[in-house]
Amino acid sequence: MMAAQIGNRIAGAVRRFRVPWTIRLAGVWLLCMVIISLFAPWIAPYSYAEQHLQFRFALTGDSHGDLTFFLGTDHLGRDILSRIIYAIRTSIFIALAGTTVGAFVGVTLGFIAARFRGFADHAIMMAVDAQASLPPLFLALGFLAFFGNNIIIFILVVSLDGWERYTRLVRGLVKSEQQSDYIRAVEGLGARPRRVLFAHILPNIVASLVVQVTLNFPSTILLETSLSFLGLGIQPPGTSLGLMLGEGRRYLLNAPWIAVYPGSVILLTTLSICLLGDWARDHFDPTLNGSGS
Amino acid sequence: MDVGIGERAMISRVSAFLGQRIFRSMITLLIAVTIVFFLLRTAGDPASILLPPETPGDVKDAYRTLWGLDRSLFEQYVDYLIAIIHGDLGISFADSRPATTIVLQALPKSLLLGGTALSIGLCLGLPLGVFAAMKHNTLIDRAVMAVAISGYAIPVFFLGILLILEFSLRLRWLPSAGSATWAHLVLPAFTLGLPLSGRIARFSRTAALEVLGRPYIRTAKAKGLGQFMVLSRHAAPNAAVPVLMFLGIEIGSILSGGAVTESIFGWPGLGRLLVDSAYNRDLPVVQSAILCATLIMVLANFFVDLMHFGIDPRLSISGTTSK
Repeated sequence: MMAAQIGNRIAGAVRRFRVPWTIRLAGVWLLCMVIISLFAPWIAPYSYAEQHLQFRFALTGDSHGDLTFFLGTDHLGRDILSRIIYAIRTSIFIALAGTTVGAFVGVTLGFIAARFRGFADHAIMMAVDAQASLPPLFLALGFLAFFGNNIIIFILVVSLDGWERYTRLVRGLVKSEQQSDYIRAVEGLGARPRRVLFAHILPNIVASLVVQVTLNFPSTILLETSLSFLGLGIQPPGTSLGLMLGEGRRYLLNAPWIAVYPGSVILLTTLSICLLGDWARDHFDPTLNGSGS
Repeated sequence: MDVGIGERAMISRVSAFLGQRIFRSMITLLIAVTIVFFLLRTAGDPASILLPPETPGDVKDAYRTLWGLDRSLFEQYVDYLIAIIHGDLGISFADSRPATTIVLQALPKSLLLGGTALSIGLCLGLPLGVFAAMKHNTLIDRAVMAVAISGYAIPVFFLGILLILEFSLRLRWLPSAGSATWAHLVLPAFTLGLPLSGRIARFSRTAALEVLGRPYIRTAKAKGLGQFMVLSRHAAPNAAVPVLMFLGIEIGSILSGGAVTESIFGWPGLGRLLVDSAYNRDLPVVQSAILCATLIMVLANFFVDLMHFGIDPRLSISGTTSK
């Protein structure tokens, strides 16, 4: 029901506002990314780990017999295009999983803080302050150094970036909704707190939440790619856009394409989400009208 | 009303506010210290992680005693708090010097890099943002914002690699690694500063637009003030407040971005130290580096609050510039 509501609002907005071409382009790019990450094994010409050692550092578009490397090969003769396709899948998956965990934890804590006030509220807001005063990359590095590295820990580490923003946002929104007349009316009719929260308040703040997720997503992707770039994220033989860039960095002089192609994919993806997030905030976020930033 | 009483009331309000901020900063630091301690200590037994697997048990025990790992977690925590107050964060596992010494040695390099990047960000970002706001909804505005949002989205490591590719490898103008001369500072500082300037431009444009639409700006213009006076006396002090708050938040991303930048350019600062120590699982150094970064952020935000009082016309103590 909620999804349909959002869908209707977006469809309505596309009709009402003239959607600029940049936003359309960003949407198309992101759609491509989603399709690529869903169907990576069918789209990629080769496997991401398949080595063609006789064709190391092949140039963009090199063709050897029936082997064609559209974006060249790396130092082990692996097809860059195939690796990028699989890397997109990994990076998008980690960022989505991290965002989901972070948003779930953040929203839950925000609800708890607003619902119970008092001690719970103070404790949660202190944790929020502490998280906000720790640079996310620093905390993530500490985590990875001492918990070792596997995919679950890595997703949790990535989810560290941003949960406190959801908590702050939800707490503020819920508190202000609680003051409004319609909530008082519902409460006066005898609705239970849980029903008030999920049936009445949540649908009214979900638009702001979705916008916040969109605004936060680029920094989540950047955290994942930064950690992988530094060699502390996704480990070989796995592949991620950041890891590819980190590997390509050693061959910059002779084979810059190894680093430049995955880097461009990251840039275009974060840029698209930024553009889309900004646009969504301007058009969908009800908290923006009047009260300002 | 007597002006003196008003002033005194204001001063007491300010000091109450500052006292509260100091208290909150201390609490934040304590929580951060606690989180770091428990997260890192529950990760596993450092003696097993760090020493080779074939190490005899009694040697491991000797190291546990040496590192204080044989006592209960709570005892370790209390010791840890006492030690932190004394500025003692243990001995580096990797090179047996005190961890604080190693961190303090790296800190000036990071401050130099971060400070230069911040200056670049402000010098480029502020004028661009204000200029875009003044030319609101024109081609110039859109062009500036297009550049700014690219700066927003580009990963620091990709920008660093592109700059190395162009200025070190192709043109051979600047060195790509090290910190020996001023020339070594240029590329890392721009790698960190350019995206920052994009973010500052974007934010200061919003802040300026907000202020320029206010009634008191119209009043100032109606009084016949020139554009420069309107901007410098009325718009700038009011727009500076949100920008300043934004800078306080940005300190975190300068630190994070700094870690990546320092690693790319071999700049021997705090961030690179943390990355290297995380690699080597050098627990005391990782801890000290994280706490040092936290302290920097807490201090920076405290100064932001102080400056907030200095520049916000609505909170002005002297009352001469109240709107």
